[in-house]
Amino acid sequence: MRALTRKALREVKLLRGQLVAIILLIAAGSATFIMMRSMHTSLVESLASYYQSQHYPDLFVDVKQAPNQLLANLRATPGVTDVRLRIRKRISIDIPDLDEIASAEVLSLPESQHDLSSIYIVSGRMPDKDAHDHVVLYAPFAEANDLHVGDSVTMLINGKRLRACIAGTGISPEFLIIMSPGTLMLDNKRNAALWMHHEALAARFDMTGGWNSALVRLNPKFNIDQSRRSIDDMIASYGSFGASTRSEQMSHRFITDEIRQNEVSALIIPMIIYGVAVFLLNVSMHRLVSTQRSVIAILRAFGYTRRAIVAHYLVIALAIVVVGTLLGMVVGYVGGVQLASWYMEFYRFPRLLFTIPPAVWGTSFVIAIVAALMGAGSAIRTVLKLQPADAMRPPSPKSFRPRLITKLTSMLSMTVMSRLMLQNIDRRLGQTILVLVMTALATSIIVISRYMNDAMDHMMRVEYDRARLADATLTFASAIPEHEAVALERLRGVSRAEPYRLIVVDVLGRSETYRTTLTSRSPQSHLTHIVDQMGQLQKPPREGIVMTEHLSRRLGLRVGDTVRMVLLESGRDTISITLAGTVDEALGSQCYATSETMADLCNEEPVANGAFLAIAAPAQAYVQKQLKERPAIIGVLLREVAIRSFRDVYGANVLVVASYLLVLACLVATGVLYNNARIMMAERSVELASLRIQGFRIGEVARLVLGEQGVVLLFGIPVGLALGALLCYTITQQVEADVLRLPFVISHKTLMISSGVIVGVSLAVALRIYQMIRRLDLITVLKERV
Amino acid sequence: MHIRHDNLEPLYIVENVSKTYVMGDVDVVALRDVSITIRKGELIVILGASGSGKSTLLNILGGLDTPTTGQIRFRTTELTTATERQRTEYRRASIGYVFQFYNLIPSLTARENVQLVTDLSSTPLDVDEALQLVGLQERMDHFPSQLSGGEQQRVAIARAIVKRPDVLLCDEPTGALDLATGIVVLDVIEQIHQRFDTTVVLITHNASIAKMADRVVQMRSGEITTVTDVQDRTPPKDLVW
Repeated sequence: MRALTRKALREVKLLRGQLVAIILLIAAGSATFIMMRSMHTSLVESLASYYQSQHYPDLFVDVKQAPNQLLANLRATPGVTDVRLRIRKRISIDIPDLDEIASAEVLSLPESQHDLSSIYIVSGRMPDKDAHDHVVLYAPFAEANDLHVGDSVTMLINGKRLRACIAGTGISPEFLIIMSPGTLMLDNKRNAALWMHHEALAARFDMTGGWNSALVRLNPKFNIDQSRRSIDDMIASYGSFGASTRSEQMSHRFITDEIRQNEVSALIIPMIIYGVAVFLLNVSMHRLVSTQRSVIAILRAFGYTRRAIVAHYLVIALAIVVVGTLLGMVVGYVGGVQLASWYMEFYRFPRLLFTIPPAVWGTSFVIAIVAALMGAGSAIRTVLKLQPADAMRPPSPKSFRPRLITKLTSMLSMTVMSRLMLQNIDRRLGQTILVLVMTALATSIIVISRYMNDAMDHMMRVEYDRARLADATLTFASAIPEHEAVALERLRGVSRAEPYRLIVVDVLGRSETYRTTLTSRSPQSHLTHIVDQMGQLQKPPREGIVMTEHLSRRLGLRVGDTVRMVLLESGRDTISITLAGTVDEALGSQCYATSETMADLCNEEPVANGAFLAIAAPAQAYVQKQLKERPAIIGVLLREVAIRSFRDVYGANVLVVASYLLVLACLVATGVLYNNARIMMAERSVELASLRIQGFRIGEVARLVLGEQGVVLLFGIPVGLALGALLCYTITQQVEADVLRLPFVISHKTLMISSGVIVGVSLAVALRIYQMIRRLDLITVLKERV
Repeated sequence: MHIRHDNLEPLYIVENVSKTYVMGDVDVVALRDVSITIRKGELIVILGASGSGKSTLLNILGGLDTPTTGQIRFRTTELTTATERQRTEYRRASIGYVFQFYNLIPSLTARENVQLVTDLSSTPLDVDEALQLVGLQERMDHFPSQLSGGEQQRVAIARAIVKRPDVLLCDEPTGALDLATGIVVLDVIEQIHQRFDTTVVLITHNASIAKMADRVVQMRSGEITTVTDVQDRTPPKDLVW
């Protein structure tokens, strides 16, 4: 090995303590980059392969009922390459161990693996051809309820109980995720899908010779809208809900939103971390070069070229980033595998293999090299400027020219120690500002990490303390007269029953049509309210509709405008109605009206698709049992269960993300503050030691040094809190999606914790500085030159 | 004029002090069995070549280091067993240091550099008076980089004496200065010594400086070879080297 290379490696080894923070930051940057970038690729590829292997359709056509004869016409539609007709119905499942009924979609079993939207069998097998009472059950539901192949499930179909044997468990790309209806709640215990033979379903639902759901594969070269319009025209007379594309499928929308956000995060977060690491590397390399002036001179005097010396210091910088990157790769891989299993909890793929593509490995190395060049760049420029003779001499004493802060402080009366502290900040103003910015950045990362929790907490409070007060929300198999729903009050334990009507509508905006729901809300309701993000109640208008503000903006509609909407349930009637108000809700994009308005719109007597119930606490179990017995009820969502699952699912995930960000923030804060302290100590050891020799106590000298850190904190923390708030606001704008809009809420606790963590980190650094001052070699200083 | 110091109160009693540094696998003996009594109001010059142990002795006298064996007492304070905190308090109350390379704080003016130390004493000298004593009344608002080496050393002396220490420890105070400037600095030390009756211990390798001392301690290889009372002290301004 060449002597210079050996020197470089030995110096890295010697400096390892000081370089730990940089190495860890580079590792964090590269781990995050590798983990998120590879996860993004894995998600994209796994999704594409899953869609391809299970023949995920391009269009989803829903009708009330249509004859099978339409198949030929559908197939003949320009652009259509394949069509599968099926029956798809919402039913409920009675799980003996479950207090409430589970909600499910039952679908026709695909005949082969080549059928559109075929099933991926997880365990067991497809039911035999004539096994009409055999089903394939959605695997996550089976797992959550401990159901296995060979067990039976009781379905409630059209008021009748049907016991079916589980032939297999499976998943489908249509159900990457199943949310509880009307919520953003993942609850695999209470939401299912199951597949049984088409003929068996047709018999149960009196749909022999008919279908209500068609899956369509299109030729990618064709205009999808054109094909969709042709199909819509064809099925208009069959009680059509219209054809919808992949992007209108909840499952697809969730996963694609996730992938999009993932792509952005995979870029931004690592860049921030790399930025901090490069800054620290730069400062450390400067320090190294300045302490090695005489070494550089000797090497130059020996005849080493500038290039060889530059290469030498570059090797040191590279060694640091390569060690960091390699460490990051290991952590990134382990973290990625964890992340993949975490994703699998949400999105059910046949497999989500976490692999790191060669391009990602390569890119992370390129980033490392660029980071090394950037980090070492200006330090190396200093090497290039040094003449051998210059380098032999110690650096000339720094002349001191008072700058703004010094001039200002000279006007104030303060102790010399305080003035000295402020002057030192003045002297290293640029560096102090950078440290301040980095400290602010670390503070802001903690604010962000806590913000998700605050936003979720706030949403929970608004949703469950203000908006959704019903103990149970029922879904009926089909609409029933309102008075029948109200009659649920007669159930023992039910203190109040409020019916609601929900219909699917296409709202025609200025440039697009949006499919959503129009739900009834009563001004006299005790159990459900229209509530904005800040918890303000809004009464439903006597006439007209109220729309989620996000939706009105998206569709370019203003209060007072006449809104046109297609009522998809009643023969696609197009109606016009006034937009009486908007509400800034956090969840969903929907419309509300009174049940009277809705009855007028649909030209029918007031009917209900469901009901909200208030149940006396001791009677909960009894009422649930009673509800289970009523076949007309196909879904029961309990408030208590909803709150619990929301907390379980999101709470755990928010905790993981928050912990990760917290570690990152501590790493940034420690790295910046500790490195700054080390450098400050190195630069000022003579000055500090001479103060100690004069008789200043360790604490007094430490105060002088820590005073600067105090100023950094004094300004850095408030700036960080403000920056954090700004970033959180940006996130709310970025995340603003049709399904979820995070409220911009930052709690006092978050501000306290964010400040507290940074103060805690700086206390730890302060302790280290104290030790360093205590260990200052006073004797050596006697021989030093300032 | 020669003053006999034999009857004066002993300030330091150094008895059989040795100091050994462990440097890697090698033990380096810096002081061997050194004994000396330094009395209040004496001006002692410790002479010796590089490696003679004079700096180690000064460091031990200043409470910057502790002996490996032997005893050292300052008045009634046992420095041998003093803790770091006690030694700091000792330096704070009793010692003024003058370094070879001045060690002034570059961001403070001459006045501020001196003022900094006044906080350490309950009865400090007036800062302006201290600077006047060293002849720098005209240069008080200058930063170190605006002062010559000799001027910087005089600021350092003013800084050392402003807290009225019992002892002024000077480590090669003229080592970085030319003859003329060095003499000015030594003259200031002499004046301080005379005016405040401050005990001065000055180490140097320059034998000429020894002529201004009350006593000269000659050191070699960590040992005191001779201690000489100077009969006819030479004023610093008459020194030549």
